Amino acid sequence: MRETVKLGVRLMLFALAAGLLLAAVNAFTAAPIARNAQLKADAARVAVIGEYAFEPLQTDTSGYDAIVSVYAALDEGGQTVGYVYELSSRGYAGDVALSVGIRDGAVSAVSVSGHTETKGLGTAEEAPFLARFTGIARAQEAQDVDAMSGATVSSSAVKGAVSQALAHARDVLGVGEVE
Amino acid sequence: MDFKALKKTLLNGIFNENPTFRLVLGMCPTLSITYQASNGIGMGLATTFVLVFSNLVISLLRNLIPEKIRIPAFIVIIATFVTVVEMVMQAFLPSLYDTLGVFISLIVVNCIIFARAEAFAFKNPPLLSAMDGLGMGLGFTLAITLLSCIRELLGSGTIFGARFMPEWFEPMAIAVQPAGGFILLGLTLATVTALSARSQKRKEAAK
Repeated sequence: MRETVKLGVRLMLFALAAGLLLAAVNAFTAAPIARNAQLKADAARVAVIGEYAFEPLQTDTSGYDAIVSVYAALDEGGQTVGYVYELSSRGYAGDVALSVGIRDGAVSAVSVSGHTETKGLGTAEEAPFLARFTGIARAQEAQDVDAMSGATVSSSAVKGAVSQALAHARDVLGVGEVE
Repeated sequence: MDFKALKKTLLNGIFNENPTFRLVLGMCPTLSITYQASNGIGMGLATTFVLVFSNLVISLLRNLIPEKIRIPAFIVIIATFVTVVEMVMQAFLPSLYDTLGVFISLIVVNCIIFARAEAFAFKNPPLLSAMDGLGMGLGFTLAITLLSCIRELLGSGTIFGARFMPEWFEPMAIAVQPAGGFILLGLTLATVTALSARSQKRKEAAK
Protein backbone atom coordinates (compact mmCIF):
# COMPACT_ATOMS: atom_id res chain seq x y z
CA MET A 1 0.00 0.00 0.00
CA ARG A 2 2.68 2.47 1.04
CA GLU A 3 4.69 1.61 -2.04
CA THR A 4 1.71 2.24 -4.32
CA VAL A 5 1.26 5.71 -2.84
CA LYS A 6 4.97 6.41 -3.22
CA LEU A 7 4.93 5.38 -6.87
CA GLY A 8 1.79 7.38 -7.48
CA VAL A 9 3.30 10.52 -5.97
CA ARG A 10 6.46 10.05 -8.03
CA LEU A 11 4.44 9.75 -11.23
CA MET A 12 2.38 12.77 -10.24
CA LEU A 13 5.56 14.81 -9.92
CA PHE A 14 6.63 13.79 -13.43
CA ALA A 15 3.24 14.76 -14.77
CA LEU A 16 3.38 18.08 -12.93
CA ALA A 17 6.76 18.93 -14.48
CA ALA A 18 5.42 17.93 -17.90
CA GLY A 19 2.36 20.12 -17.39
CA LEU A 20 4.49 23.12 -16.46
CA LEU A 21 6.67 22.67 -19.55
CA LEU A 22 3.61 22.43 -21.79
CA ALA A 23 2.08 25.51 -20.22
CA ALA A 24 5.27 27.44 -20.98
CA VAL A 25 5.27 26.29 -24.63
CA ASN A 26 1.58 27.04 -24.93
CA ALA A 27 2.18 30.59 -23.69
CA PHE A 28 4.15 31.48 -26.79
CA THR A 29 2.41 29.28 -29.39
CA ALA A 30 -1.22 30.05 -28.52
CA ALA A 31 -1.30 33.41 -30.30
CA PRO A 32 0.20 32.23 -33.63
CA ILE A 33 -2.07 29.15 -33.59
CA ALA A 34 -5.16 31.33 -33.13
CA ARG A 35 -3.95 33.61 -35.92
CA ASN A 36 -3.45 30.65 -38.29
CA ALA A 37 -6.94 29.36 -37.53
CA GLN A 38 -8.34 32.82 -38.24
CA LEU A 39 -6.41 33.03 -41.54
CA LYS A 40 -7.78 29.68 -42.60
CA ALA A 41 -11.33 30.74 -41.77
CA ASP A 42 -10.80 34.03 -43.59
CA ALA A 43 -9.28 32.41 -46.71
CA ALA A 44 -12.59 32.22 -48.59
CA ARG A 45 -13.40 35.81 -47.71
CA VAL A 46 -9.93 37.07 -48.64
CA ALA A 47 -10.33 35.38 -52.04
CA VAL A 48 -13.33 37.50 -52.95
CA ILE A 49 -12.35 40.93 -51.62
CA GLY A 50 -8.69 41.03 -50.51
CA GLU A 51 -6.62 41.08 -47.32
CA TYR A 52 -8.78 42.75 -44.71
CA ALA A 53 -10.01 42.05 -41.22
CA PHE A 54 -13.51 40.57 -41.20
CA GLU A 55 -16.23 41.17 -38.70
CA PRO A 56 -19.61 39.43 -38.69
CA LEU A 57 -22.43 41.87 -39.35
CA GLN A 58 -25.73 41.72 -37.46
CA THR A 59 -28.28 42.49 -40.10
CA ASP A 60 -31.82 41.58 -41.07
CA THR A 61 -31.73 38.87 -43.75
CA SER A 62 -35.37 37.84 -43.64
CA GLY A 63 -36.72 37.53 -47.17
CA TYR A 64 -33.24 36.64 -48.45
CA ASP A 65 -33.26 32.85 -48.08
CA ALA A 66 -29.85 32.29 -49.70
CA ILE A 67 -27.88 34.51 -47.31
CA VAL A 68 -26.13 32.56 -44.57
CA SER A 69 -24.00 35.33 -43.08
CA VAL A 70 -22.66 38.78 -43.88
CA TYR A 71 -19.21 40.08 -42.98
CA ALA A 72 -17.90 43.61 -43.12
CA ALA A 73 -14.37 43.95 -44.52
CA LEU A 74 -12.46 46.47 -42.42
CA ASP A 75 -9.17 48.14 -43.38
CA GLU A 76 -6.40 48.90 -40.87
CA GLY A 77 -8.15 52.05 -39.70
CA GLY A 78 -11.35 50.11 -38.98
CA GLN A 79 -13.18 51.66 -41.94
CA THR A 80 -15.63 49.43 -43.79
CA VAL A 81 -14.37 48.96 -47.34
CA GLY A 82 -16.86 46.35 -48.48
CA TYR A 83 -18.95 43.33 -47.55
CA VAL A 84 -18.66 39.59 -47.97
CA TYR A 85 -21.79 37.49 -48.29
CA GLU A 86 -21.73 33.81 -47.54
CA LEU A 87 -24.57 32.20 -49.39
CA SER A 88 -26.08 28.81 -49.90
CA SER A 89 -28.36 28.24 -52.83
CA ARG A 90 -30.23 25.16 -54.05
CA GLY A 91 -28.49 23.71 -57.12
CA TYR A 92 -29.07 20.61 -59.20
CA ALA A 93 -28.04 18.05 -56.58
CA GLY A 94 -27.86 19.81 -53.24
CA ASP A 95 -26.75 23.17 -52.00
CA VAL A 96 -24.06 25.27 -53.62
CA ALA A 97 -22.09 27.26 -51.06
CA LEU A 98 -20.47 30.45 -52.27
CA SER A 99 -18.88 33.69 -51.12
CA VAL A 100 -19.56 37.00 -52.85
CA GLY A 101 -17.51 40.13 -52.24
CA ILE A 102 -19.21 43.49 -52.71
CA ARG A 103 -17.17 46.66 -52.88
CA ASP A 104 -18.45 50.12 -53.77
CA GLY A 105 -21.81 48.58 -54.54
CA ALA A 106 -20.47 46.20 -57.19
CA VAL A 107 -19.36 42.57 -57.12
CA SER A 108 -15.59 42.27 -56.57
CA ALA A 109 -15.45 38.48 -56.97
CA VAL A 110 -17.43 35.28 -56.53
CA SER A 111 -16.01 32.01 -55.31
CA VAL A 112 -17.64 28.63 -54.81
CA SER A 113 -16.58 27.06 -51.52
CA GLY A 114 -18.44 23.79 -51.79
CA HIS A 115 -21.00 21.94 -53.89
CA THR A 116 -22.32 18.48 -54.64
CA GLU A 117 -23.21 19.09 -58.28
CA THR A 118 -22.34 16.56 -61.00
CA LYS A 119 -18.54 16.35 -61.13
CA GLY A 120 -17.00 17.50 -64.39
CA LEU A 121 -20.03 19.29 -65.85
CA GLY A 122 -19.05 22.89 -66.29
CA THR A 123 -15.77 22.47 -64.38
CA ALA A 124 -13.74 24.01 -67.20
CA GLU A 125 -16.21 26.87 -67.51
CA GLU A 126 -16.46 27.56 -63.80
CA ALA A 127 -13.71 30.19 -63.57
CA PRO A 128 -14.79 32.26 -66.62
CA PHE A 129 -18.43 31.97 -65.53
CA LEU A 130 -17.69 33.27 -62.03
CA ALA A 131 -15.48 36.01 -63.48
CA ARG A 132 -18.45 37.35 -65.49
CA PHE A 133 -20.05 38.60 -62.26
CA THR A 134 -17.15 40.92 -61.41
CA GLY A 135 -18.20 44.55 -61.67
CA ILE A 136 -21.92 43.89 -61.76
CA ALA A 137 -23.84 46.34 -59.58
CA ARG A 138 -27.51 45.53 -60.23
CA ALA A 139 -29.37 42.44 -59.05
CA GLN A 140 -31.08 42.11 -62.45
CA GLU A 141 -27.74 42.11 -64.32
CA ALA A 142 -26.58 39.18 -62.20
CA GLN A 143 -29.62 37.23 -63.42
CA ASP A 144 -28.72 38.00 -67.05
CA VAL A 145 -25.18 36.55 -66.95
CA ASP A 146 -24.64 33.79 -69.53
CA ALA A 147 -24.96 30.35 -67.92
CA MET A 148 -22.39 27.55 -68.16
CA SER A 149 -23.50 25.23 -70.95
CA GLY A 150 -24.51 21.84 -69.59
CA ALA A 151 -24.85 23.21 -66.06
CA THR A 152 -27.85 25.51 -66.31
CA VAL A 153 -29.36 24.66 -62.93
CA SER A 154 -26.05 25.13 -61.12
CA SER A 155 -25.57 28.43 -62.97
CA SER A 156 -29.01 29.60 -61.88
CA ALA A 157 -28.19 28.78 -58.28
CA VAL A 158 -25.12 31.00 -58.45
CA LYS A 159 -26.96 33.77 -60.30
CA GLY A 160 -29.81 33.74 -57.81
CA ALA A 161 -27.43 33.90 -54.85
CA VAL A 162 -25.36 36.75 -56.31
CA SER A 163 -28.44 38.79 -57.13
CA GLN A 164 -29.77 38.29 -53.60
CA ALA A 165 -26.45 39.54 -52.21
CA LEU A 166 -26.65 42.63 -54.43
CA ALA A 167 -30.31 43.27 -53.55
CA HIS A 168 -29.57 42.92 -49.82
CA ALA A 169 -26.58 45.26 -50.03
CA ARG A 170 -28.69 47.87 -51.79
CA ASP A 171 -31.94 47.57 -49.86
CA VAL A 172 -30.77 46.74 -46.35
CA LEU A 173 -27.18 47.99 -46.13
CA GLY A 174 -27.85 50.93 -48.42
CA VAL A 175 -24.80 50.58 -50.68
CA GLY A 176 -24.76 50.80 -54.47
CA GLU A 177 -26.99 52.64 -56.85
CA VAL A 178 -30.76 52.78 -56.68
CA GLU A 179 -32.46 51.14 -59.64
CA MET B 1 33.11 10.63 -22.14
CA ASP B 2 35.22 9.77 -25.09
CA PHE B 3 34.48 11.16 -28.48
CA LYS B 4 34.89 7.83 -30.26
CA ALA B 5 32.00 6.19 -28.39
CA LEU B 6 29.70 9.13 -29.22
CA LYS B 7 30.57 8.93 -32.90
CA LYS B 8 30.08 5.19 -32.92
CA THR B 9 26.63 5.53 -31.29
CA LEU B 10 25.62 8.21 -33.79
CA LEU B 11 26.68 6.18 -36.83
CA ASN B 12 25.15 3.03 -35.37
CA GLY B 13 21.69 4.60 -35.63
CA ILE B 14 22.22 5.82 -39.16
CA PHE B 15 23.75 2.65 -40.66
CA ASN B 16 24.18 -0.59 -38.66
CA GLU B 17 20.89 -0.33 -36.80
CA ASN B 18 18.94 1.97 -39.09
CA PRO B 19 15.44 1.94 -37.54
CA THR B 20 13.62 1.62 -40.87
CA PHE B 21 15.92 -0.56 -42.95
CA ARG B 22 17.53 -2.69 -40.22
CA LEU B 23 15.27 -2.74 -37.18
CA VAL B 24 12.11 -2.32 -39.32
CA LEU B 25 10.48 -0.19 -36.62
CA GLY B 26 8.02 2.67 -36.99
CA MET B 27 6.39 1.26 -40.10
CA CYS B 28 3.08 3.04 -39.52
CA PRO B 29 4.27 6.61 -40.18
CA THR B 30 6.72 5.26 -42.76
CA LEU B 31 3.96 3.85 -44.93
CA SER B 32 1.31 6.47 -44.39
CA ILE B 33 3.07 9.79 -44.91
CA THR B 34 5.88 9.02 -47.38
CA TYR B 35 3.92 9.89 -50.51
CA GLN B 36 5.76 13.20 -50.89
CA ALA B 37 9.34 14.13 -50.05
CA SER B 38 8.56 17.18 -47.90
CA ASN B 39 6.41 14.99 -45.63
CA GLY B 40 9.28 12.53 -45.22
CA ILE B 41 11.77 15.13 -44.07
CA GLY B 42 9.22 16.94 -41.86
CA MET B 43 8.13 13.75 -40.13
CA GLY B 44 11.75 12.60 -39.79
CA LEU B 45 12.93 15.80 -38.16
CA ALA B 46 9.92 15.97 -35.81
CA THR B 47 10.66 12.39 -34.71
CA THR B 48 14.37 13.19 -34.32
CA PHE B 49 13.56 16.10 -32.00
CA VAL B 50 11.34 13.90 -29.83
CA LEU B 51 13.92 11.08 -29.80
CA VAL B 52 16.83 13.29 -28.74
CA PHE B 53 14.93 14.98 -25.93
CA SER B 54 13.05 11.96 -24.64
CA ASN B 55 16.29 9.93 -24.60
CA LEU B 56 18.13 12.74 -22.83
CA VAL B 57 15.46 13.29 -20.17
CA ILE B 58 14.84 9.60 -19.56
CA SER B 59 18.56 9.04 -19.16
CA LEU B 60 18.89 11.99 -16.75
CA LEU B 61 15.99 10.68 -14.67
CA ARG B 62 16.87 7.00 -14.95
CA ASN B 63 17.84 6.79 -11.28
CA LEU B 64 14.67 8.61 -10.19
CA ILE B 65 12.26 6.51 -12.23
CA PRO B 66 11.28 3.36 -10.29
CA GLU B 67 11.47 0.19 -12.38
CA LYS B 68 7.79 -0.55 -11.74
CA ILE B 69 6.40 2.64 -13.21
CA ARG B 70 8.97 3.18 -15.94
CA ILE B 71 6.46 2.60 -18.78
CA PRO B 72 3.95 5.28 -17.66
CA ALA B 73 6.86 7.61 -16.88
CA PHE B 74 8.26 7.09 -20.40
CA ILE B 75 4.86 7.80 -21.89
CA VAL B 76 4.49 11.05 -19.92
CA ILE B 77 7.93 12.23 -21.06
CA ILE B 78 7.48 11.20 -24.71
CA ALA B 79 3.95 12.62 -24.93
CA THR B 80 5.18 15.92 -23.51
CA PHE B 81 7.79 16.36 -26.23
CA VAL B 82 5.38 15.26 -28.95
CA THR B 83 2.89 17.87 -27.76
CA VAL B 84 5.64 20.50 -27.82
CA VAL B 85 6.46 19.57 -31.43
CA GLU B 86 2.79 19.59 -32.32
CA MET B 87 2.14 23.04 -30.88
CA VAL B 88 5.28 24.58 -32.35
CA MET B 89 4.54 23.11 -35.78
CA GLN B 90 0.93 24.25 -35.66
CA ALA B 91 2.08 27.76 -34.77
CA PHE B 92 4.99 28.19 -37.15
CA LEU B 93 4.64 25.57 -39.94
CA PRO B 94 0.86 25.38 -40.42
CA SER B 95 0.98 23.92 -43.94
CA LEU B 96 3.24 21.04 -42.89
CA TYR B 97 1.02 20.54 -39.85
CA ASP B 98 -2.04 20.26 -42.11
CA THR B 99 -0.48 17.56 -44.31
CA LEU B 100 1.02 15.49 -41.47
CA GLY B 101 -2.09 15.96 -39.32
CA VAL B 102 -2.81 13.14 -36.95
CA PHE B 103 0.55 11.45 -37.56
CA ILE B 104 2.28 14.10 -35.46
CA SER B 105 0.30 13.08 -32.38
CA LEU B 106 0.93 9.46 -33.29
CA ILE B 107 4.69 9.95 -32.78
CA VAL B 108 3.79 9.16 -29.14
CA VAL B 109 3.25 5.54 -30.06
CA ASN B 110 6.10 5.34 -32.56
CA CYS B 111 7.91 2.20 -31.47
CA ILE B 112 11.36 3.56 -32.37
CA ILE B 113 11.10 6.11 -29.57
CA PHE B 114 9.78 3.64 -27.06
CA ALA B 115 12.34 1.02 -28.04
CA ARG B 116 15.23 3.48 -27.60
CA ALA B 117 13.91 4.65 -24.23
CA GLU B 118 13.63 1.09 -22.94
CA ALA B 119 16.68 -0.46 -24.61
CA PHE B 120 19.15 2.41 -24.48
CA ALA B 121 18.31 5.58 -22.55
CA PHE B 122 17.22 3.77 -19.37
CA LYS B 123 20.64 2.09 -19.11
CA ASN B 124 23.09 4.65 -20.49
CA PRO B 125 24.46 8.10 -19.51
CA PRO B 126 22.69 11.24 -20.82
CA LEU B 127 25.13 12.41 -23.49
CA LEU B 128 25.43 8.97 -25.04
CA SER B 129 21.62 8.59 -24.94
CA ALA B 130 21.05 11.93 -26.65
CA MET B 131 23.56 10.87 -29.31
CA ASP B 132 21.72 7.58 -29.76
CA GLY B 133 18.50 9.55 -30.22
CA LEU B 134 20.16 11.80 -32.78
CA GLY B 135 21.61 8.85 -34.70
CA MET B 136 18.34 6.90 -34.70
CA GLY B 137 16.40 10.03 -35.63
CA LEU B 138 18.69 10.89 -38.53
CA GLY B 139 18.66 7.26 -39.69
CA PHE B 140 14.87 7.34 -39.67
CA THR B 141 14.81 10.72 -41.45
CA LEU B 142 17.22 9.56 -44.16
CA ALA B 143 15.31 6.32 -44.72
CA ILE B 144 11.83 7.83 -44.98
CA THR B 145 13.05 10.77 -47.05
CA LEU B 146 14.64 8.32 -49.49
CA LEU B 147 11.44 6.28 -49.63
CA SER B 148 9.25 9.36 -50.04
CA CYS B 149 11.48 10.69 -52.88
CA ILE B 150 11.04 7.38 -54.72
CA ARG B 151 7.27 7.38 -54.17
CA GLU B 152 6.82 11.01 -55.16
CA LEU B 153 8.99 10.51 -58.28
CA LEU B 154 7.01 7.49 -59.46
CA GLY B 155 3.61 8.68 -58.27
CA SER B 156 3.70 12.34 -59.26
CA GLY B 157 6.86 12.67 -61.40
CA THR B 158 8.32 15.22 -58.97
CA ILE B 159 10.73 15.41 -56.00
CA PHE B 160 10.08 18.16 -53.42
CA GLY B 161 7.51 19.50 -55.90
CA ALA B 162 10.09 20.02 -58.68
CA ARG B 163 9.45 18.10 -61.90
CA PHE B 164 12.04 15.40 -62.66
CA MET B 165 10.29 13.12 -65.11
CA PRO B 166 10.02 13.79 -68.87
CA GLU B 167 6.78 15.10 -70.35
CA TRP B 168 5.59 11.68 -71.60
CA PHE B 169 5.82 10.09 -68.15
CA GLU B 170 2.43 9.00 -66.88
CA PRO B 171 2.47 9.08 -63.03
CA MET B 172 1.82 5.69 -61.39
CA ALA B 173 -1.03 6.46 -59.04
CA ILE B 174 -0.37 3.32 -56.99
CA ALA B 175 3.02 4.64 -55.82
CA VAL B 176 1.35 7.32 -53.69
CA GLN B 177 -1.33 4.93 -52.38
CA PRO B 178 -0.72 2.89 -49.19
CA ALA B 179 -0.52 -0.36 -51.23
CA GLY B 180 2.23 1.12 -53.41
CA GLY B 181 3.96 2.20 -50.20
CA PHE B 182 4.16 -1.43 -49.08
CA ILE B 183 5.51 -2.59 -52.43
CA LEU B 184 8.14 0.16 -52.71
CA LEU B 185 9.18 -0.24 -49.07
CA GLY B 186 9.73 -3.95 -49.74
CA LEU B 187 11.81 -3.25 -52.85
CA THR B 188 13.86 -0.55 -51.10
CA LEU B 189 14.43 -2.83 -48.10
CA ALA B 190 15.58 -5.64 -50.40
CA THR B 191 17.96 -3.31 -52.26
CA VAL B 192 19.50 -1.92 -49.08
CA THR B 193 19.94 -5.42 -47.64
CA ALA B 194 21.52 -6.71 -50.86
CA LEU B 195 23.93 -3.76 -51.05
CA SER B 196 25.04 -4.08 -47.44
CA ALA B 197 25.44 -7.86 -47.78
CA ARG B 198 27.69 -7.29 -50.78
CA SER B 199 29.87 -4.74 -49.02
CA GLN B 200 30.10 -7.10 -46.04
CA LYS B 201 31.32 -9.87 -48.31
CA ARG B 202 33.91 -7.59 -49.91
CA LYS B 203 35.19 -6.60 -46.49
CA GLU B 204 35.62 -10.22 -45.53
CA ALA B 205 37.32 -11.04 -48.81
CA ALA B 206 39.74 -8.16 -48.26
CA LYS B 207 40.74 -9.62 -44.93
